[in-house]
Amino acid sequence: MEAKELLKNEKVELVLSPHPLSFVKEQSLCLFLIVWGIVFGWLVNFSSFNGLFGDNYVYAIAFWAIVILLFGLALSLITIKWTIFSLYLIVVCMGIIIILTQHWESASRSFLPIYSVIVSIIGFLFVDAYRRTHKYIITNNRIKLKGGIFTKRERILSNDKILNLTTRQGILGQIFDFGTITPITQHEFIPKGEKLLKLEGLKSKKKKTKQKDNEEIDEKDQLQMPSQKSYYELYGVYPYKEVKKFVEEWLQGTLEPIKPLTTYQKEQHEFLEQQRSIQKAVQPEQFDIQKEMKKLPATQTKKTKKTQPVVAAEQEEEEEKDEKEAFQPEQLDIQKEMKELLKKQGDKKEEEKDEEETETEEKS
Amino acid sequence: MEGSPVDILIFAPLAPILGVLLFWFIQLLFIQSQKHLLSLIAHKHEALCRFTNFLGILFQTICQALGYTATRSGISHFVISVDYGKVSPKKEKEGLLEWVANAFLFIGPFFIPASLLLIYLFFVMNGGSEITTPSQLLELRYTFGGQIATFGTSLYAFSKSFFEFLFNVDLLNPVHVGFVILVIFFGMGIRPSYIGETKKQKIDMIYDLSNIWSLIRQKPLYIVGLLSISYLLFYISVLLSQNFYVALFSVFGWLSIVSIMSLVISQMIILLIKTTDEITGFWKILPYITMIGSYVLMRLIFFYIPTDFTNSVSLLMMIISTILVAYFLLDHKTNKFKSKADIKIFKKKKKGESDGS
Repeated sequence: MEAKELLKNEKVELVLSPHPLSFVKEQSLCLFLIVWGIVFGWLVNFSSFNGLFGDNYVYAIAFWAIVILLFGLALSLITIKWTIFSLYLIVVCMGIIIILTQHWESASRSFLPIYSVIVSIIGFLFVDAYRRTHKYIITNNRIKLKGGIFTKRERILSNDKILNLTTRQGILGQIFDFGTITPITQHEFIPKGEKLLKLEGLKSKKKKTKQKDNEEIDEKDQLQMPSQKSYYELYGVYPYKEVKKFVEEWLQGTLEPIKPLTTYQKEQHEFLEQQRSIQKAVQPEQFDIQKEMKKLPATQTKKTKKTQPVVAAEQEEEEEKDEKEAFQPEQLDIQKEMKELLKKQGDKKEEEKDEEETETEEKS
Repeated sequence: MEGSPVDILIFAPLAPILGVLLFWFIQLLFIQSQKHLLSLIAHKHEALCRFTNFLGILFQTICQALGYTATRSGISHFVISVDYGKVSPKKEKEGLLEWVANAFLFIGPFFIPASLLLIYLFFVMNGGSEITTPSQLLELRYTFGGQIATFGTSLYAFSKSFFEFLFNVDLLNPVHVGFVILVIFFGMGIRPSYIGETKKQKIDMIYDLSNIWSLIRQKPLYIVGLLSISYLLFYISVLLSQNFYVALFSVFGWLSIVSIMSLVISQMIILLIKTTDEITGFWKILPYITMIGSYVLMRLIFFYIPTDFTNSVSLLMMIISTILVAYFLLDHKTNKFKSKADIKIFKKKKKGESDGS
């Protein structure tokens, strides 16, 4: 980070970049090309199966292309990323175009393995160049995350905006001691109810029943993680444990009591606390009402069974009347209860507002 | 059928069991020596040690999971990390099934991963899986000696083919390269070195033996039952004159041989890493470059001058040249193989070089 990029009273605490193996997913795409290039070269030139391809160069080219495309297709379906298939398709098309334009049909058995290896080496270099563009600078005030080869992207996070950290470390990360740390800001923090509405269709039944039973709410449920790019988080930083500890301490340092909270932070904390207290107050009562609602159909069936038919038409009319008589008062009770609850909520909010106003008046 | 009835009825069935135990014990010794070698390079190669530990935990966890699957306990939870692995069953079984699941956990890692290599070997190796019967060995029949000789013969036949294959491995053949990589992976991670990140539980020969001993002590009746079954199998094989009894134990012997060879190969690699650690700067890469370069060079030479022993000579040249280069570097760049006076001269020379630069 250049000196002119620094703000007033700002100093650089840590400069990080991703570990060379952190982009292993992208590198593995290139690795496959190398491996397949070698295997293909051995199969069509040296193995006992080389007779299968005959003298016709088309079979060898088709075999080479089909395996690459099938692999790409499988990967794309698994990861739901069609870019993988597209990349492999480009590689295959380029190879075939070179053979046809240069009239290397007869030499395709030796050209294709070499071509695969060269393309994968270029791929490796490109991935590494992309990795090297990433720089994560932690100063005493903010985190600056930047990366990108052609389009330079930057994300600047002021330390008072970061609410939380999420971390992840794969097996390779555990072996080579690198991992990803994602700072979470307020706009990525969505209340539980809102998220449930959005993801209702995706939620498993198990989770739904858990929520119904008002069990402990998993903290993950309250977080909506956006699909982060490597230049928007501390991606694959090394040494992971030390960096994680440093970032946590850095974040804790901003919350020390000596340093006063900003008005924005105060508002956010108060808002979150309000939401939690309202949820706690309302939830048990809501559950009582839900239980009563569940009981209603049972009482309804019991009562209908008790009435005995005399004449069919009269009976139906009587039943309808009975049902109305039987349920209306109960439903009214519930409605009343609901209204009372809503009133209570409203009163609480008003009381809180009054308290806030009195506090602010006292302060002023 | 020659030999005394006591020999045939009591001692003969024990012969292949003792043979397997002997080979398994040798395997344990090799594992212990590998742990020692790994501990020597641990401070400089933490990632490699973590990787070997992960492989060990992976094999152990898979064996435990197989145990639960075989006993129809089901798997409810499967967790694996670099320092820790845990498998939880869906249903907690008791008695024999629990004991079998534990046997998979404690004994499985020595044989189950090796069985994968054995299956691979059957596709790439020529013969070696034939089992001889005592009737083929004229003088020795279904006695203790006969059984041990049969067991040894089948192991010899397998070892002969296996070594032939190993000494003729074609490192330009992807199928053979795949086998070599598997052998190294298996050898490196046959057992984990430790479990747990904070409290390191050391996994050594004593730990494994104590686990197996407690498994035996837990239910001694099951061991008696297993022995009775093996005796019964032996008597049936004698009556039918089909030596499937020895064949069964021979497979375990083959697995031990595969494991031992994997351990030897991985130890050679660890030794090379340890040796090159003593060399400083760019020179430490030279043995590895020599290893690959010499093999490719030899194969190129033999491509233009074809011979019958292309693969084996190339491998031999690769090993010899790597050892020679490593020795040469150790001799010239370190204090190794030097007397006290020579070390002083060497230090002075080094100091002079650094001052000059």
